[in-house]
Amino acid sequence: MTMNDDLIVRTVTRRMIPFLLLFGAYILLHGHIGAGGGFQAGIIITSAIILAAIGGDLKEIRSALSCRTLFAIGAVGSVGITLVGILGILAGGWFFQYGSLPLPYSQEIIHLIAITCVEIGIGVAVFGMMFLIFIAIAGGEE
Amino acid sequence: MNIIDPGFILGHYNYWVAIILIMIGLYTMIAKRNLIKKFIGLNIIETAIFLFYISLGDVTGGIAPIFAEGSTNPPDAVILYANPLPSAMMLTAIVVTLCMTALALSFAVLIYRRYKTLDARRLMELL
Amino acid sequence: MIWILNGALLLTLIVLALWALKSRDLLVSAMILSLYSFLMAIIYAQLNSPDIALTEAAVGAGITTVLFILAIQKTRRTEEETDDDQLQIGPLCVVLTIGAVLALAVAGMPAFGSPDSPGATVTGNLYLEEGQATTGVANIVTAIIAYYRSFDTLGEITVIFAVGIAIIGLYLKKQEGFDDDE
Repeated sequence: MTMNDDLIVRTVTRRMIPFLLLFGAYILLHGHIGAGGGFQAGIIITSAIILAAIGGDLKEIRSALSCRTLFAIGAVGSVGITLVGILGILAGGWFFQYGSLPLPYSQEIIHLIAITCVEIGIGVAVFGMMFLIFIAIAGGEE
Repeated sequence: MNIIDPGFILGHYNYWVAIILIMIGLYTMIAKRNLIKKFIGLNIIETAIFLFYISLGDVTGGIAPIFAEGSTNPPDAVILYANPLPSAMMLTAIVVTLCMTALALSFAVLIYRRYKTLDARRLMELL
Repeated sequence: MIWILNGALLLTLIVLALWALKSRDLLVSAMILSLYSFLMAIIYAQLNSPDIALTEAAVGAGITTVLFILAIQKTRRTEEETDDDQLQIGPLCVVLTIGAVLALAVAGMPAFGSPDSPGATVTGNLYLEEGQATTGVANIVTAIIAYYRSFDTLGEITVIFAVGIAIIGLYLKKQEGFDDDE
């Protein structure tokens, strides 16, 4: 896949990507109010970056987000979720029991914060791994 | 229960469609020899299973299990909500499906790179 | 009157699935699968699960299609010459048997959408009754995913992680010249 020569494709993708990223962030942070959550947000952000790779230059994206970086991003998300679970143990509860976290808020708010952290972790992990798969299949042969 | 009863047949129409889609997908997986065609059949089976579970959780006249903003009380019994548990389980299943499809397709690409064919029967001869 | 829309969508789904089965052009099959997933997302939204609808629209019509098209681009677009076009008796018998068994199982189930079916029972449902009071989350599906059944989520993330490791093992080894072709 080389640089896309079509002016319309390039312009439309460049204009659409910020809105897609914004929509992904909205889905990520409003998962507790409406439909959505970490997984959907990760997928939408991945599709935005895939659109950038298709409409723009795949090589540029590859140099900015190498396989190593993407694997590190995915691993950070996965480990982050586990850490949130372990925090529950450290605070004297069970694995993934957020209620006992020592934060100066009411029980509800603590749950909300922990759930949002888990959602963000899912989103980051899904983004890293899914884009890694795309990069690996698309650019396996140089 | 009367199998011929039209009310019985119409009352289960989502389930019948899910079964028909499972049959179509299974036929694609068994009869077609192209590996990518088999994966398409696999995807059809999986979406049919999701349809089955989501239909299980739905309730006539119910609404989605999202509470209106600001209401902190548990819902009164007048409002019917669809069961959220099938949705949550199928959300996990969709992730696993996506991962499985991605891994299967990358295997297919590697197989083609090495054996120059995706035909299952020809692959069995080559292996 | 919503069942007319629902029935039309479900019939379209069957037609699209058969079309994806019959087409010899794999690219056409992949695009049909994308359309199929999008219609399925509309049905999910109509069945009161907007989360699944959003996910199916993003995953089925988006990422899965991209991966299929990439794989088809890296391999070949048409099926190879085979004789699997006409109806084959053996697979048909297997499929019909399985379909009959499934139909018998469904025949014992309560009608779709009836309020007293076990799947749709709301009274005694812990998640609906105290989910919001415990977690402060308005969307109960999110509460189940991130709190009540967070072990499921941990398993799901483990699957994603394992797939990432598998992709690294499959592709990156090849790039470093560790190619054992024949």
